[in-house]
Amino acid sequence: MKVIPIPAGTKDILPSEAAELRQLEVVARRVFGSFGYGEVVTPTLETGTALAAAGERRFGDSFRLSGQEGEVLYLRPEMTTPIARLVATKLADREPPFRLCYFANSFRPTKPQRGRQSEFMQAGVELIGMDSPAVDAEVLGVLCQVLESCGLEDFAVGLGESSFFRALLDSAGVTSEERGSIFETLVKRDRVRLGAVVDGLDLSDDDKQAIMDVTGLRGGSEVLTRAQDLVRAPAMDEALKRLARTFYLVSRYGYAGRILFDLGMFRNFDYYTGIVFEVYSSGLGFPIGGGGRYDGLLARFGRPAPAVGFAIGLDRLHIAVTERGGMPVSGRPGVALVDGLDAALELASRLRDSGAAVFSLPEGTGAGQALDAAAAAGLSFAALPQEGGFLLLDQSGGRELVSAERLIGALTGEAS
Amino acid sequence: MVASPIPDGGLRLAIPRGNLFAETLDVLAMVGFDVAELRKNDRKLVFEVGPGRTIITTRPSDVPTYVEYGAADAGIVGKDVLMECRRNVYELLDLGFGKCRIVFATPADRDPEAEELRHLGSMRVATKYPRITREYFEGRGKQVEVIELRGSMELAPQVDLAEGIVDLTATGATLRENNLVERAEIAVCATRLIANRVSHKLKANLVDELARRLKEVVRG
Repeated sequence: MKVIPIPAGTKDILPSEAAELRQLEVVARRVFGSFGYGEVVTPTLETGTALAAAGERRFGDSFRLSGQEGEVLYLRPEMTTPIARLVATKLADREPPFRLCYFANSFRPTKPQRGRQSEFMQAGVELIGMDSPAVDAEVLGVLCQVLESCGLEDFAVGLGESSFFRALLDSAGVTSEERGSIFETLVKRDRVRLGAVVDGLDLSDDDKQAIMDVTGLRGGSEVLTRAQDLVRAPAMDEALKRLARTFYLVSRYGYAGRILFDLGMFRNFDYYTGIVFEVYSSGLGFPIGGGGRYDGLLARFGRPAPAVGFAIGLDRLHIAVTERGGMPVSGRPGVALVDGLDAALELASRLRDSGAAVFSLPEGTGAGQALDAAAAAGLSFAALPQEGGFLLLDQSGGRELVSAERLIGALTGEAS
Repeated sequence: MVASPIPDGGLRLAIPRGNLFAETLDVLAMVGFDVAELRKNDRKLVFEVGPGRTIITTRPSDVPTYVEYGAADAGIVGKDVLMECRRNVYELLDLGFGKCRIVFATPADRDPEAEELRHLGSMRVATKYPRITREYFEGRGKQVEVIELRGSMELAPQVDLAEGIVDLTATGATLRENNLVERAEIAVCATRLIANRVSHKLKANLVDELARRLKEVVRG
C-alpha cells in the first residue's frame, strides 16, 4: 500500500462515522429551527480586513494563503466573526433581533500535543440584538436541548458571569497592567502563579483573598450564596442578580439540573462581556463546546449590538455520545442487490421508490460477497436473482426464496 | 443545593515514578492514601488505594499528558516538566518538595560570551529542556543552537558537542565534578498538584478537598 499522508490535525471520515456526525447535525438543525434560528453559510476564506476588525488575538495564528492578486486570505478559525461581519453588512438594512445558526468546518493550526484537530466541525447559534437574562437563558436552553436530543446523557454546563470578577477588580482598584498579569495566570490555569501575583499587589488582605476565592468558586447553587458574601460593590451585586435570574429562567426550560456555577471561568475575557459557559461530559477531558455574551464585537464592524452565542464541537460531541452506548441506529432498510445494475434494475428502482436503500452489485456476485457488501454499506439484507424469484439473505444467516413482490414487502415492512 | 449533574465517580491521581516517587508517597500517606502496595510493587501501574481512589504511576514526563486528556483527574509532577511540555492543565498547588533549579552552565575555564563570538554569534547548548532553553535565550536576544539530549548533559561540553548546558541541579555537585560553572539560574522548580480542566469542574469537591489537605500537610 502506498502511503499518501494528509495534513497534520485533519482526518478522513468514513461512511459509518459520517452518518453519525450528520445525524447529530440533523438533530441540532431541528432544535435550532424550532427556536427560529435561520441557517447561514459563509465563505471558508475571509480577508484580512474582516479579521483585523475582530482583533489580532483571535486570528493571529490562522492558516493563510494568497489570493489571485497576492492578497492574504485566511481560513476561518471560528464562525462568530464571519457572522458578525455578515450582520453588519448583508443584514445592515434589517432590524434586529437576528437568530442565526451555522454548521461549518473551521480551521486552526494544531498546537503540538493539544489533542485538537486543525480542521473541526462546529454547530452553533448567535442571537444578536437583544440583551437580558431571558435571552441568555434561551441560548442556554437551546444548548441543553440540542445535547439532550443528541442522546448525550451525562453532561453539565459550567456557567460563569465575567462581569462579576471584572467588578471585583474595579472595586479593589487593580490597575490595567496588574489586570494583565492576573489574566495571564488565569489563561494558563496556573493558580500557584496567580497566588504569587496577587500576593505582590498593593491590595488589602481582604481583596487578595476575594480574588483567590472568586477564581476558584464553582459548584452547585450554593455558589451563589457564597458569592453573595464576596460582594463589595453594586456592580458585583448586579452581576450576581443577573446570573441568578438567568439560572431561574433556565430552570423553567427544564435544565436547572444541568447547570454548574463557575465564577472562575475565563474564556477570552477581553471578548466576553457577560455570561460565559462551557459544556462538560464525564467521558471527555476537554469541553465539548462553549460560548457566552460578547457585546463589544459587533461595534468593531460598525454596527454596535449586544450578542450571545455558542459553538459545539461536533467531533467531540460525537465522541462523548458514542462513549456511552453509542448513537441510536436510524438506518433505513436496505439490500445489496445482485444484478441490480441491469436485469433487476427495475426492481431496484421500485425498492428505492418505496423507501429502501439498494446497493447494486454486478451480475454473478456470490452470496457471501453480497452479504459482505451489504454489511460494509450498513444494510441488513442481500438478494440474488434465482429461478422463480430472489434468494433473500440476512446478516444472521436466514435465507429464503421469495418473489419480487415479497422482497419489496420484506424491505418496506409491508405485507405482500 | 442542586445535585451535581454528573456523579463524581471517584478520583484518579497520576504520580511520577522516578526521583519524586518516594516523597510523593510520603505526602499522600499523610493525607490518608493507603500507599503500602505502591511502595512494595514496582511493576504494577494502577493501584486502588481506597474507596473511589485510584493511583496510576507513569514516567514523570507523561503525568501531564494523562491529566490533560482526562485519563487522570489530577496529578503530581515537577514544575520543570510542566514548563517544558505546556499541557493545558490547572496548576493548583506548589507542594514544596523536590525543589531544584534549572541553570545554564559552561566549563569553568571558558567564557561563554567569547565562545558566542567565535561561533558566528551563536552558541550550542545541550539540554533535555529544548523549549525552556530556546525561550530563555530568545528572551535575552541570544541565538543558540539547542542540542537535545536525554541524559548526562555534563558530558556534552567536555567532548565539544556544546559550549554549555541547561540542566536541573539540586546541590551543584555534578556540575562541579564535571568542571562546569553555573552562569545563570533560569527557574526554580518544585513539585506541583495539577488537575484536568473538566475534572476541576465536575469533581470540584474531590479536587478541592485533595488540594486543601495537601496544603495543610506541606505548609504544616
